[in-house]
Amino acid sequence: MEMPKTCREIVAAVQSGRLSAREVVEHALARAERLEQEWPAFTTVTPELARRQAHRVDQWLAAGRRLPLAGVPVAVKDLIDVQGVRTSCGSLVFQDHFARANATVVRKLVSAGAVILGKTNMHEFAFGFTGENANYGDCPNPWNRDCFAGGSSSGSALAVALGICPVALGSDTGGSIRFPAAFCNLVGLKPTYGRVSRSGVFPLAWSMDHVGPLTRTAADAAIVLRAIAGRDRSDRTTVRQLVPDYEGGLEEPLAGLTIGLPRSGFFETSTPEVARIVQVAADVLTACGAKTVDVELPYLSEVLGVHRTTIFSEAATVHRELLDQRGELYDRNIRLLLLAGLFLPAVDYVKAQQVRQVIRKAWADVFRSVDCVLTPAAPIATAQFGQKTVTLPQGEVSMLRACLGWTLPFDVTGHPAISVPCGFTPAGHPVGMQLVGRPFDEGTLLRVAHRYQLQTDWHCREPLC
Amino acid sequence: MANQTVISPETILRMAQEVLGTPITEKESQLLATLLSNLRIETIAMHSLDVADAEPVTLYEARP
Repeated sequence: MEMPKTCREIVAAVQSGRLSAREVVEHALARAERLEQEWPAFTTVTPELARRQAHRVDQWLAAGRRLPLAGVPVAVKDLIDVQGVRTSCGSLVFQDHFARANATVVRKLVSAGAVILGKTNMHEFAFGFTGENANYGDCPNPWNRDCFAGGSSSGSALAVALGICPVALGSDTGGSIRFPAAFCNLVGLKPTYGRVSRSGVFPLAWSMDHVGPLTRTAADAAIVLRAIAGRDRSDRTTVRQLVPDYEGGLEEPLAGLTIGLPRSGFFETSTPEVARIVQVAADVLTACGAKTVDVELPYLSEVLGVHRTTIFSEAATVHRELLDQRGELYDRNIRLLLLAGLFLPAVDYVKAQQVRQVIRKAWADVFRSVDCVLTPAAPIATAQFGQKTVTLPQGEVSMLRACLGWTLPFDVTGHPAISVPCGFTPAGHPVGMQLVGRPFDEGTLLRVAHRYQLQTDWHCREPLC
Repeated sequence: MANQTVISPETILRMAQEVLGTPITEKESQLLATLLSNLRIETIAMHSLDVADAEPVTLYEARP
Protein backbone atom coordinates (compact mmCIF):
# COMPACT_ATOMS: atom_id res chain seq x y z
CA MET A 1 0.00 0.00 0.00
CA GLU A 2 1.31 3.43 -0.89
CA MET A 3 2.03 5.43 2.23
CA PRO A 4 -0.35 8.37 2.63
CA LYS A 5 1.33 11.74 2.56
CA THR A 6 -0.88 14.12 4.49
CA CYS A 7 -1.93 14.19 8.08
CA ARG A 8 -5.59 13.79 7.08
CA GLU A 9 -4.84 10.71 4.97
CA ILE A 10 -2.69 9.08 7.66
CA VAL A 11 -5.30 9.62 10.35
CA ALA A 12 -7.98 8.10 8.10
CA ALA A 13 -5.82 5.08 7.29
CA VAL A 14 -4.68 4.44 10.85
CA GLN A 15 -8.04 5.13 12.51
CA SER A 16 -9.71 2.72 10.08
CA GLY A 17 -7.10 0.03 10.56
CA ARG A 18 -5.83 0.01 6.99
CA LEU A 19 -2.43 0.93 8.39
CA SER A 20 -1.01 0.65 11.87
CA ALA A 21 0.73 3.53 13.58
CA ARG A 22 3.78 1.30 13.73
CA GLU A 23 3.84 0.85 9.95
CA VAL A 24 3.57 4.58 9.40
CA VAL A 25 6.36 5.43 11.81
CA GLU A 26 8.67 2.75 10.41
CA HIS A 27 8.23 4.25 6.97
CA ALA A 28 9.06 7.72 8.30
CA LEU A 29 12.10 6.49 10.22
CA ALA A 30 13.40 4.62 7.16
CA ARG A 31 13.06 7.71 5.00
CA ALA A 32 14.74 9.88 7.63
CA GLU A 33 17.65 7.44 7.76
CA ARG A 34 17.94 7.25 3.99
CA LEU A 35 18.13 11.04 3.61
CA GLU A 36 20.11 12.04 6.70
CA GLN A 37 23.57 12.14 5.09
CA GLU A 38 22.58 14.54 2.37
CA TRP A 39 19.87 16.48 4.19
CA PRO A 40 20.61 17.38 7.85
CA ALA A 41 16.98 17.87 8.81
CA PHE A 42 17.40 16.39 12.28
CA THR A 43 19.67 17.00 15.25
CA THR A 44 18.25 13.96 17.03
CA VAL A 45 16.06 11.21 15.62
CA THR A 46 14.13 9.32 18.32
CA PRO A 47 13.35 5.86 16.91
CA GLU A 48 12.77 4.12 20.26
CA LEU A 49 10.47 6.84 21.51
CA ALA A 50 8.62 6.90 18.21
CA ARG A 51 8.10 3.13 18.23
CA ARG A 52 6.88 3.17 21.83
CA GLN A 53 4.45 5.94 21.08
CA ALA A 54 3.25 4.23 17.88
CA HIS A 55 2.65 1.02 19.81
CA ARG A 56 0.63 2.93 22.39
CA VAL A 57 -1.42 4.61 19.66
CA ASP A 58 -2.22 1.21 18.17
CA GLN A 59 -3.32 0.02 21.62
CA TRP A 60 -5.49 3.08 22.14
CA LEU A 61 -7.17 2.57 18.79
CA ALA A 62 -7.76 -1.10 19.54
CA ALA A 63 -9.51 0.04 22.73
CA GLY A 64 -11.85 2.18 20.67
CA ARG A 65 -10.38 5.66 21.13
CA ARG A 66 -10.66 8.23 18.40
CA LEU A 67 -7.47 10.24 17.99
CA PRO A 68 -7.36 13.40 15.85
CA LEU A 69 -3.69 12.81 14.99
CA ALA A 70 -3.72 9.00 15.07
CA GLY A 71 -0.30 7.74 14.06
CA VAL A 72 0.90 10.98 12.48
CA PRO A 73 4.69 11.26 12.66
CA VAL A 74 5.70 14.75 13.77
CA ALA A 75 9.11 16.38 13.86
CA VAL A 76 9.74 19.00 16.51
CA LYS A 77 12.09 21.98 16.27
CA ASP A 78 15.01 21.47 18.61
CA LEU A 79 14.11 24.27 20.98
CA ILE A 80 10.89 22.53 21.97
CA ASP A 81 11.26 20.08 24.85
CA VAL A 82 10.59 16.37 24.43
CA GLN A 83 10.98 14.49 27.70
CA GLY A 84 14.24 12.59 27.97
CA VAL A 85 15.53 13.95 24.66
CA ARG A 86 18.22 16.55 24.22
CA THR A 87 17.04 20.10 23.51
CA SER A 88 20.11 21.54 21.82
CA CYS A 89 18.63 24.71 20.25
CA GLY A 90 21.15 23.93 17.51
CA SER A 91 23.98 24.94 19.83
CA LEU A 92 26.96 23.42 21.60
CA VAL A 93 25.88 25.46 24.63
CA PHE A 94 23.06 22.95 25.17
CA GLN A 95 24.71 19.84 23.80
CA ASP A 96 24.24 18.12 27.17
CA HIS A 97 20.84 19.57 28.00
CA PHE A 98 18.08 16.97 28.27
CA ALA A 99 14.46 17.91 28.78
CA ARG A 100 12.81 16.75 32.00
CA ALA A 101 9.31 17.09 30.66
CA ASN A 102 7.42 17.54 27.42
CA ALA A 103 6.63 21.02 26.26
CA THR A 104 2.89 21.67 26.42
CA VAL A 105 2.57 21.48 22.63
CA VAL A 106 4.34 18.10 22.60
CA ARG A 107 2.14 16.77 25.40
CA LYS A 108 -0.93 17.82 23.43
CA LEU A 109 0.33 16.27 20.20
CA VAL A 110 1.07 12.96 21.91
CA SER A 111 -2.34 12.95 23.62
CA ALA A 112 -3.89 13.43 20.20
CA GLY A 113 -2.13 10.35 18.88
CA ALA A 114 0.88 11.90 17.17
CA VAL A 115 4.24 10.16 17.21
CA ILE A 116 7.39 12.21 17.81
CA LEU A 117 9.96 11.36 15.18
CA GLY A 118 12.78 13.54 16.42
CA LYS A 119 14.19 17.04 16.93
CA THR A 120 14.90 19.16 13.92
CA ASN A 121 17.88 21.20 12.93
CA MET A 122 17.69 24.96 13.20
CA HIS A 123 19.59 28.20 13.13
CA GLU A 124 21.39 28.37 16.45
CA PHE A 125 19.04 29.62 19.18
CA ALA A 126 16.64 30.61 16.40
CA PHE A 127 18.55 33.87 15.91
CA GLY A 128 18.85 33.76 12.14
CA PHE A 129 16.97 33.15 8.93
CA THR A 130 19.21 31.02 6.71
CA GLY A 131 19.21 27.69 8.54
CA GLU A 132 22.99 27.54 8.48
CA ASN A 133 24.38 25.65 11.44
CA ALA A 134 28.05 24.87 11.91
CA ASN A 135 27.29 22.25 14.59
CA TYR A 136 24.62 20.16 12.90
CA GLY A 137 24.99 21.05 9.24
CA ASP A 138 23.62 23.73 6.98
CA CYS A 139 20.14 23.03 5.63
CA PRO A 140 20.09 23.30 1.84
CA ASN A 141 16.94 24.13 -0.02
CA PRO A 142 15.36 20.95 -1.42
CA TRP A 143 14.61 22.82 -4.66
CA ASN A 144 18.19 24.02 -5.15
CA ARG A 145 21.07 22.83 -2.99
CA ASP A 146 23.08 26.02 -3.65
CA CYS A 147 20.39 27.94 -1.80
CA PHE A 148 19.41 27.82 1.82
CA ALA A 149 16.19 26.31 3.09
CA GLY A 150 15.45 29.36 5.20
CA GLY A 151 15.21 29.54 8.95
CA SER A 152 15.25 29.43 11.68
CA SER A 153 12.93 26.40 11.46
CA SER A 154 15.08 25.00 8.66
CA GLY A 155 15.12 21.35 9.69
CA SER A 156 11.37 21.35 10.27
CA ALA A 157 10.86 22.67 6.76
CA LEU A 158 13.20 20.03 5.33
CA ALA A 159 11.51 17.19 7.21
CA VAL A 160 8.15 18.01 5.64
CA ALA A 161 9.43 19.09 2.22
CA LEU A 162 11.40 15.85 1.86
CA GLY A 163 8.36 13.75 2.73
CA ILE A 164 9.81 12.36 5.95
CA CYS A 165 6.73 13.41 7.91
CA PRO A 166 3.63 15.47 7.08
CA VAL A 167 3.92 17.79 10.07
CA ALA A 168 6.71 19.58 11.85
CA LEU A 169 6.54 22.15 14.60
CA GLY A 170 8.52 25.34 14.29
CA SER A 171 8.80 28.65 16.06
CA ASP A 172 8.44 32.11 14.59
CA THR A 173 9.82 35.34 16.06
CA GLY A 174 10.51 37.23 12.84
CA GLY A 175 9.30 34.79 10.20
CA SER A 176 11.00 31.55 11.14
CA ILE A 177 8.00 29.37 10.28
CA ARG A 178 6.64 31.31 7.32
CA PHE A 179 9.90 32.12 5.60
CA PRO A 180 11.28 28.56 5.34
CA ALA A 181 7.77 27.42 4.43
CA ALA A 182 7.73 29.86 1.51
CA PHE A 183 11.22 28.85 0.40
CA CYS A 184 10.40 25.13 0.59
CA ASN A 185 6.88 25.12 -0.92
CA LEU A 186 5.07 24.45 2.34
CA VAL A 187 2.28 25.86 4.44
CA GLY A 188 3.63 27.60 7.53
CA LEU A 189 1.28 28.95 10.18
CA LYS A 190 2.20 31.47 12.83
CA PRO A 191 -0.82 31.61 15.14
CA THR A 192 -1.92 34.68 17.08
CA TYR A 193 0.33 35.48 20.01
CA GLY A 194 -1.25 33.71 22.96
CA ARG A 195 -3.07 31.09 20.88
CA VAL A 196 -0.48 28.35 21.43
CA SER A 197 1.50 27.75 24.59
CA ARG A 198 5.23 28.51 24.67
CA SER A 199 5.77 26.48 27.84
CA GLY A 200 8.75 24.17 27.37
CA VAL A 201 9.97 26.13 24.35
CA PHE A 202 13.33 27.84 24.77
CA PRO A 203 12.76 31.54 24.07
CA LEU A 204 14.37 33.84 21.57
CA ALA A 205 12.22 36.87 22.46
CA TRP A 206 9.35 36.21 24.84
CA SER A 207 7.00 38.84 23.50
CA MET A 208 7.37 37.80 19.87
CA ASP A 209 7.84 34.04 19.99
CA HIS A 210 5.12 31.93 18.41
CA VAL A 211 4.87 28.13 17.97
CA GLY A 212 3.14 26.69 14.93
CA PRO A 213 3.08 23.95 12.30
CA LEU A 214 4.71 23.47 8.92
CA THR A 215 2.68 21.18 6.68
CA ARG A 216 1.91 20.56 3.03
CA THR A 217 -1.72 21.55 3.29
CA ALA A 218 -3.86 24.08 5.09
CA ALA A 219 -6.15 21.23 6.11
CA ASP A 220 -3.28 19.57 7.95
CA ALA A 221 -2.34 22.86 9.60
CA ALA A 222 -5.95 23.17 10.78
CA ILE A 223 -5.88 19.72 12.37
CA VAL A 224 -2.60 20.39 14.14
CA LEU A 225 -3.61 23.85 15.35
CA ARG A 226 -6.77 22.43 16.90
CA ALA A 227 -4.64 19.93 18.79
CA ILE A 228 -2.02 22.36 20.12
CA ALA A 229 -3.98 25.56 20.71
CA GLY A 230 -5.53 26.59 23.97
CA ARG A 231 -5.10 28.08 27.37
CA ASP A 232 -2.14 26.79 29.39
CA ARG A 233 -1.58 27.70 33.02
CA SER A 234 2.15 27.27 32.59
CA ASP A 235 2.18 30.00 29.93
CA ARG A 236 0.33 33.02 31.27
CA THR A 237 0.28 34.72 27.91
CA THR A 238 -2.11 32.12 26.53
CA VAL A 239 -5.74 33.16 26.32
CA ARG A 240 -8.99 31.55 27.40
CA GLN A 241 -10.42 32.05 23.91
CA LEU A 242 -12.29 28.93 22.80
CA VAL A 243 -10.38 26.81 20.27
CA PRO A 244 -12.64 26.48 17.21
CA ASP A 245 -13.01 23.42 15.02
CA TYR A 246 -10.63 24.76 12.40
CA GLU A 247 -11.02 21.71 10.16
CA GLY A 248 -14.79 21.91 10.29
CA GLY A 249 -14.76 25.48 9.02
CA LEU A 250 -12.53 24.86 6.01
CA GLU A 251 -15.25 24.23 3.47
CA GLU A 252 -17.16 27.48 3.99
CA PRO A 253 -17.23 29.45 0.73
CA LEU A 254 -15.27 32.67 0.29
CA ALA A 255 -18.23 34.71 -0.95
CA GLY A 256 -18.48 37.87 1.10
CA LEU A 257 -14.88 37.73 2.25
CA THR A 258 -12.79 40.88 1.80
CA ILE A 259 -9.05 40.58 1.27
CA GLY A 260 -6.83 43.64 1.61
CA LEU A 261 -3.87 44.13 -0.72
CA PRO A 262 -1.37 46.65 0.70
CA ARG A 263 -0.84 49.58 -1.65
CA SER A 264 2.76 50.03 -0.62
CA GLY A 265 5.54 48.21 1.14
CA PHE A 266 5.00 44.68 -0.12
CA PHE A 267 4.16 44.10 -3.77
CA GLU A 268 6.07 46.90 -5.45
CA THR A 269 9.14 46.24 -3.30
CA SER A 270 9.27 42.53 -4.08
CA THR A 271 10.99 41.15 -7.17
CA PRO A 272 8.65 41.52 -10.17
CA GLU A 273 8.31 37.75 -10.59
CA VAL A 274 7.28 37.25 -6.96
CA ALA A 275 4.83 40.15 -7.12
CA ARG A 276 3.34 38.80 -10.34
CA ILE A 277 2.93 35.26 -8.98
CA VAL A 278 1.29 36.48 -5.76
CA GLN A 279 -1.02 38.81 -7.70
CA VAL A 280 -2.15 35.81 -9.74
CA ALA A 281 -2.88 34.02 -6.48
CA ALA A 282 -5.01 36.97 -5.38
CA ASP A 283 -6.88 36.70 -8.68
CA VAL A 284 -7.59 33.02 -7.98
CA LEU A 285 -9.14 33.99 -4.67
CA THR A 286 -11.23 36.65 -6.39
CA ALA A 287 -12.48 34.02 -8.81
CA CYS A 288 -13.45 31.96 -5.76
CA GLY A 289 -15.76 34.70 -4.58
CA ALA A 290 -13.57 36.87 -2.39
CA LYS A 291 -13.36 40.62 -2.93
CA THR A 292 -10.00 42.40 -2.94
CA VAL A 293 -9.53 46.00 -1.87
CA ASP A 294 -6.52 48.25 -1.50
CA VAL A 295 -5.34 48.87 2.06
CA GLU A 296 -2.53 50.80 3.63
CA LEU A 297 -0.50 49.37 6.49
CA PRO A 298 1.18 52.38 8.08
CA TYR A 299 4.39 52.42 10.06
CA LEU A 300 6.25 49.78 8.06
CA SER A 301 9.56 51.58 8.59
CA GLU A 302 8.92 51.94 12.29
CA VAL A 303 7.94 48.30 12.77
CA LEU A 304 11.39 47.15 11.66
CA GLY A 305 12.99 49.25 14.38
CA VAL A 306 10.55 47.94 16.97
CA HIS A 307 11.32 44.36 15.99
CA ARG A 308 15.09 44.83 16.05
CA THR A 309 15.11 46.64 19.38
CA THR A 310 12.77 44.14 20.99
CA ILE A 311 14.48 41.00 19.72
CA PHE A 312 17.97 42.20 20.60
CA SER A 313 16.97 43.33 24.10
CA GLU A 314 14.94 40.26 24.98
CA ALA A 315 17.36 37.75 23.48
CA ALA A 316 20.28 39.34 25.32
CA THR A 317 18.34 39.06 28.55
CA VAL A 318 17.55 35.39 27.89
CA HIS A 319 21.22 34.62 27.31
CA ARG A 320 22.88 36.99 29.78
CA GLU A 321 24.03 34.35 32.24
CA LEU A 322 24.80 31.75 29.60
CA LEU A 323 27.06 34.21 27.80
CA ASP A 324 29.05 34.59 31.01
CA GLN A 325 29.10 30.88 31.83
CA ARG A 326 29.46 29.28 28.39
CA GLY A 327 30.22 32.16 26.06
CA GLU A 328 32.94 30.30 24.19
CA LEU A 329 30.50 27.61 23.05
CA TYR A 330 28.30 29.95 21.05
CA ASP A 331 28.61 30.27 17.31
CA ARG A 332 30.69 33.41 16.78
CA ASN A 333 28.00 35.26 14.83
CA ILE A 334 25.21 34.35 17.26
CA ARG A 335 27.36 35.43 20.18
CA LEU A 336 27.81 38.86 18.60
CA LEU A 337 24.09 39.29 18.02
CA LEU A 338 23.37 38.39 21.64
CA LEU A 339 26.10 40.65 23.00
CA ALA A 340 24.75 43.59 20.97
CA GLY A 341 21.54 43.59 22.95
CA LEU A 342 23.49 44.23 26.16
CA PHE A 343 24.44 47.67 24.86
CA LEU A 344 20.96 48.91 24.06
CA PRO A 345 19.59 51.45 26.53
CA ALA A 346 16.47 50.43 28.44
CA VAL A 347 14.73 53.57 27.18
CA ASP A 348 15.12 52.26 23.63
CA TYR A 349 13.29 49.10 24.56
CA VAL A 350 10.49 51.04 26.26
CA LYS A 351 10.21 53.38 23.27
CA ALA A 352 9.89 50.32 21.05
CA GLN A 353 7.01 49.07 23.16
CA GLN A 354 5.31 52.46 22.93
CA VAL A 355 5.64 52.44 19.16
CA ARG A 356 4.36 48.89 19.19
CA GLN A 357 1.19 50.12 20.86
CA VAL A 358 0.74 52.82 18.23
CA ILE A 359 1.22 50.30 15.41
CA ARG A 360 -1.11 47.78 16.97
CA LYS A 361 -3.92 50.32 17.23
CA ALA A 362 -3.38 51.59 13.68
CA TRP A 363 -3.46 48.11 12.21
CA ALA A 364 -6.54 47.17 14.21
CA ASP A 365 -8.26 49.96 12.28
CA VAL A 366 -7.15 48.40 8.98
CA PHE A 367 -8.65 45.06 9.93
CA ARG A 368 -12.03 46.63 10.63
CA SER A 369 -12.58 46.86 6.88
CA VAL A 370 -11.01 43.59 5.70
CA ASP A 371 -11.11 39.97 6.81
CA CYS A 372 -7.48 39.38 6.00
CA VAL A 373 -4.52 40.96 4.23
CA LEU A 374 -2.57 39.26 1.45
CA THR A 375 1.12 39.90 0.74
CA PRO A 376 4.05 37.98 -0.64
CA ALA A 377 5.57 35.91 2.18
CA ALA A 378 8.98 37.23 1.13
CA PRO A 379 10.09 39.67 -1.56
CA ILE A 380 12.39 37.02 -3.01
CA ALA A 381 12.01 33.37 -3.93
CA THR A 382 15.53 32.20 -3.35
CA ALA A 383 18.86 33.13 -1.82
CA GLN A 384 22.23 31.45 -2.01
CA PHE A 385 24.41 30.46 0.88
CA GLY A 386 26.78 33.32 1.62
CA GLN A 387 24.68 35.91 -0.18
CA LYS A 388 24.85 39.27 1.62
CA THR A 389 22.46 41.51 -0.30
CA VAL A 390 19.57 41.29 -2.71
CA THR A 391 18.58 43.56 -5.58
CA LEU A 392 14.98 44.66 -5.28
CA PRO A 393 13.12 47.38 -7.23
CA GLN A 394 14.11 49.97 -4.62
CA GLY A 395 17.78 49.01 -4.81
CA GLU A 396 20.22 46.82 -2.92
CA VAL A 397 18.88 45.65 0.44
CA SER A 398 20.24 43.51 3.26
CA MET A 399 19.39 39.83 3.44
CA LEU A 400 17.48 40.45 6.67
CA ARG A 401 15.09 42.84 4.96
CA ALA A 402 14.87 40.60 1.92
CA CYS A 403 14.08 37.46 3.88
CA LEU A 404 12.07 38.67 6.86
CA GLY A 405 10.88 42.16 5.96
CA TRP A 406 7.38 40.94 5.06
CA THR A 407 6.94 38.54 7.97
CA LEU A 408 8.42 40.25 11.03
CA PRO A 409 5.80 42.98 11.30
CA PHE A 410 3.25 40.40 12.38
CA ASP A 411 5.48 39.02 15.09
CA VAL A 412 5.56 42.55 16.50
CA THR A 413 1.79 42.90 16.47
CA GLY A 414 0.90 39.27 17.17
CA HIS A 415 -1.53 38.92 14.25
CA PRO A 416 -1.93 35.35 12.92
CA ALA A 417 -0.25 34.80 9.57
CA ILE A 418 0.14 31.87 7.21
CA SER A 419 2.43 31.26 4.26
CA VAL A 420 0.88 29.26 1.42
CA PRO A 421 2.59 27.91 -1.74
CA CYS A 422 1.34 29.87 -4.74
CA GLY A 423 3.65 29.18 -7.63
CA PHE A 424 7.15 28.77 -8.95
CA THR A 425 9.55 31.13 -10.65
CA PRO A 426 10.76 30.24 -14.15
CA ALA A 427 13.94 28.95 -12.49
CA GLY A 428 11.89 26.53 -10.39
CA HIS A 429 11.94 28.22 -6.98
CA PRO A 430 8.75 28.14 -4.92
CA VAL A 431 6.92 31.33 -4.04
CA GLY A 432 4.72 31.77 -1.00
CA MET A 433 1.88 34.17 -0.37
CA GLN A 434 1.18 35.38 3.16
CA LEU A 435 -2.29 35.81 4.56
CA VAL A 436 -2.59 37.86 7.73
CA GLY A 437 -5.72 37.83 9.84
CA ARG A 438 -7.41 39.43 12.79
CA PRO A 439 -6.24 38.24 16.19
CA PHE A 440 -7.58 34.75 16.94
CA ASP A 441 -9.15 34.42 13.50
CA GLU A 442 -6.87 31.66 12.24
CA GLY A 443 -10.04 30.01 10.94
CA THR A 444 -10.40 32.58 8.16
CA LEU A 445 -6.78 32.20 7.12
CA LEU A 446 -7.06 28.43 7.00
CA ARG A 447 -10.33 28.60 5.09
CA VAL A 448 -8.87 30.93 2.45
CA ALA A 449 -5.69 28.86 2.18
CA HIS A 450 -7.66 25.62 1.89
CA ARG A 451 -9.95 27.03 -0.82
CA TYR A 452 -6.88 28.21 -2.71
CA GLN A 453 -5.32 24.76 -2.48
CA LEU A 454 -8.49 23.17 -3.84
CA GLN A 455 -8.13 25.39 -6.93
CA THR A 456 -4.39 24.90 -7.43
CA ASP A 457 -1.80 22.14 -7.13
CA TRP A 458 1.39 24.01 -6.27
CA HIS A 459 1.47 22.31 -2.88
CA CYS A 460 1.43 18.88 -4.55
CA ARG A 461 4.76 19.42 -6.27
CA GLU A 462 7.65 17.65 -4.62
CA PRO A 463 11.39 18.25 -4.99
CA LEU A 464 13.43 15.50 -6.63
CA CYS A 465 15.26 13.99 -3.66
CA MET B 1 18.53 60.76 18.35
CA ALA B 2 19.02 60.08 14.61
CA ASN B 3 22.20 62.17 14.57
CA GLN B 4 23.75 60.66 17.69
CA THR B 5 27.31 59.41 17.23
CA VAL B 6 27.29 55.68 17.41
CA ILE B 7 29.30 54.06 20.13
CA SER B 8 33.00 53.42 19.41
CA PRO B 9 34.82 50.09 19.79
CA GLU B 10 36.82 51.55 22.65
CA THR B 11 33.70 52.56 24.51
CA ILE B 12 32.14 49.16 23.89
CA LEU B 13 35.22 47.48 25.34
CA ARG B 14 35.14 49.68 28.45
CA MET B 15 31.40 49.24 28.92
CA ALA B 16 31.73 45.48 28.64
CA GLN B 17 34.46 45.46 31.27
CA GLU B 18 33.29 48.17 33.66
CA VAL B 19 29.51 48.15 33.34
CA LEU B 20 28.45 44.74 32.13
CA GLY B 21 31.21 42.59 33.57
CA THR B 22 31.15 40.57 30.33
CA PRO B 23 34.58 40.04 28.79
CA ILE B 24 34.77 40.60 25.04
CA THR B 25 37.72 40.71 22.66
CA GLU B 26 38.96 43.74 20.79
CA LYS B 27 37.83 42.15 17.55
CA GLU B 28 34.36 41.67 19.00
CA SER B 29 34.23 45.29 20.09
CA GLN B 30 34.90 46.36 16.49
CA LEU B 31 32.26 44.04 15.09
CA LEU B 32 29.79 45.17 17.74
CA ALA B 33 30.42 48.79 16.85
CA THR B 34 29.45 48.04 13.26
CA LEU B 35 26.45 45.99 14.31
CA LEU B 36 25.18 48.71 16.64
CA SER B 37 25.73 51.33 13.97
CA ASN B 38 23.58 49.31 11.55
CA LEU B 39 20.98 48.81 14.25
CA ARG B 40 20.85 52.55 14.81
CA ILE B 41 20.09 53.09 11.14
CA GLU B 42 17.35 50.47 11.24
CA THR B 43 15.71 52.15 14.24
CA ILE B 44 15.80 55.79 13.03
CA ALA B 45 12.13 55.77 12.02
CA MET B 46 11.11 54.20 15.32
CA HIS B 47 13.04 56.73 17.38
CA SER B 48 11.68 59.63 15.33
CA LEU B 49 8.03 58.70 15.78
CA ASP B 50 6.12 60.89 18.18
CA VAL B 51 4.22 58.45 20.39
CA ALA B 52 2.44 61.20 22.36
CA ASP B 53 1.19 59.56 25.55
CA ALA B 54 1.06 55.99 24.26
CA GLU B 55 1.83 53.50 26.97
CA PRO B 56 4.21 50.66 26.23
CA VAL B 57 2.79 47.28 25.31
CA THR B 58 3.12 44.99 28.29
CA LEU B 59 4.39 41.48 27.93
CA TYR B 60 1.30 39.88 29.40
CA GLU B 61 -1.26 41.79 27.40
CA ALA B 62 -2.97 39.11 25.35
CA ARG B 63 -6.16 40.65 24.08
CA PRO B 64 -8.09 40.21 20.82
